[in-house]
Amino acid sequence: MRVQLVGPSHGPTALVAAAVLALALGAGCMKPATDVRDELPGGAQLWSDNCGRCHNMRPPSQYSSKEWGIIMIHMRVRAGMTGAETRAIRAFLESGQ
Amino acid sequence: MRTTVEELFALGEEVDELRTQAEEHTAKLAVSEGALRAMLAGTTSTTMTVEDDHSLRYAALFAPHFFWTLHERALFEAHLDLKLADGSTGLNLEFAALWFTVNDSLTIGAGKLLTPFGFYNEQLHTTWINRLPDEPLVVADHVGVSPTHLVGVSARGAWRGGTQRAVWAVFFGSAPHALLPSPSNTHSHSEPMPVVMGPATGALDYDRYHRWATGGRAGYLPIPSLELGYSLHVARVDPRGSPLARILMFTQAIDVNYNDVVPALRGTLDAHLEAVLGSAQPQEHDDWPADRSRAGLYAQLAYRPSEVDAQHLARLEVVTRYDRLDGIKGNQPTERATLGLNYWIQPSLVIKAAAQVVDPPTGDNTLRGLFQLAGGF
Repeated sequence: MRVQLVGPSHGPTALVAAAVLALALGAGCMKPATDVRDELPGGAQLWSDNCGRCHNMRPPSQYSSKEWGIIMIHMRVRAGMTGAETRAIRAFLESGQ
Repeated sequence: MRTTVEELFALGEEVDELRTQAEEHTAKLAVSEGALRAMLAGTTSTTMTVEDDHSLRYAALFAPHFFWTLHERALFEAHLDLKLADGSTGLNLEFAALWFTVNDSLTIGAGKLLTPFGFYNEQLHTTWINRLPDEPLVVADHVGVSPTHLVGVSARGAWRGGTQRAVWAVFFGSAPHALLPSPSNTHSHSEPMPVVMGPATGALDYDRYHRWATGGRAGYLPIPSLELGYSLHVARVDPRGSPLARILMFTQAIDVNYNDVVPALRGTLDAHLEAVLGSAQPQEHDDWPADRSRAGLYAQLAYRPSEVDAQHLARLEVVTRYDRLDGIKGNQPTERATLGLNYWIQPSLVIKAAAQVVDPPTGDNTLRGLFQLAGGF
């Protein structure tokens, strides 16, 4: 098999956490939700938005198309992305080979 | 006429030969594509620490990460940590899990998992991703309050609405093993309990699995560069060799995370805040202190002038972190302030240098230096 080689009280705390989330949700709810398909940014934008949140972004040329396919499944779990976002980013990365 | 027939027969033979060759090449390509379902990646690092008394400590890490796609919807991944520290080498299975994509919004997994608790544990703990040479105390393995691993199942997903996003993960599986420290107690790696732990809620050993734990994390991203999270972990643990009754542990965390290019600063800002509170609820006992909670937090800010023209300047990064971990049974907390300077040779290859002031529960402040070369491959 050829392997392609190529990274006391918790009540107040809960209230604070709930308040923070409520404020954030309230701020975010000013814009009504729309059809995801109509509003999904392009792969390049999604790559920039998601792949740089935790680590420096690796260039598309660093891995092959097949390797990106494997990596994107892993990153979908880690970064918390939808299937549509994952496919768009993968297409962008594969186009950069 | 005879020549034309012979030519036709010869042509037919050539076509047959070409068809055979095409079939052979197709078969080879299929084998090749199957082999590319496996992939090896990983992390490596070398760390030197200069303590306050000028003594030196060294550590090296090799952490391979295996991927194997069993199906277009199924990925198996495993991560090993092979670490040399303080003269001894340890091998640890960091995680080994099978993930299955159910649909665009749901993924389920099973195996040994990183607990989806907080932001640091799953997203930032990897050596070349962590912007400092060491971990914040509150989330550090075997030292902190945050749960780090479990053996069990997890479901997770994401939602997108315009520019807003939400992520969620839930889990059910093994609970940590509660250790009630005494001078003779050791945790799973057979090292003496850190002095900072002391009695009371005790340390949680996430390498011994039994009982149960459940919980999850919800994250909200009002804009792509900002994520707010809340995590909860509830576990029934058994104290090892203790006459005390079973313990119910509640651990909560909030996290705030930001990363974006700031044009006014001509660079990238990266900020993280994570606060964790853990408490123990014994069903019945008389010996535990009234205060059975323990908290900690860290706040970190990094800046890199990524938008300047000077290449070497654009690769430099300044990082500062404050972290704190409560003492136990009324002891003073441990507080640290760290200032670091990184040079990113490549996006996943970095040289780190940091100075750290430690304010221990007792005694004077100490100063240490940390140096690390870390890379992801």
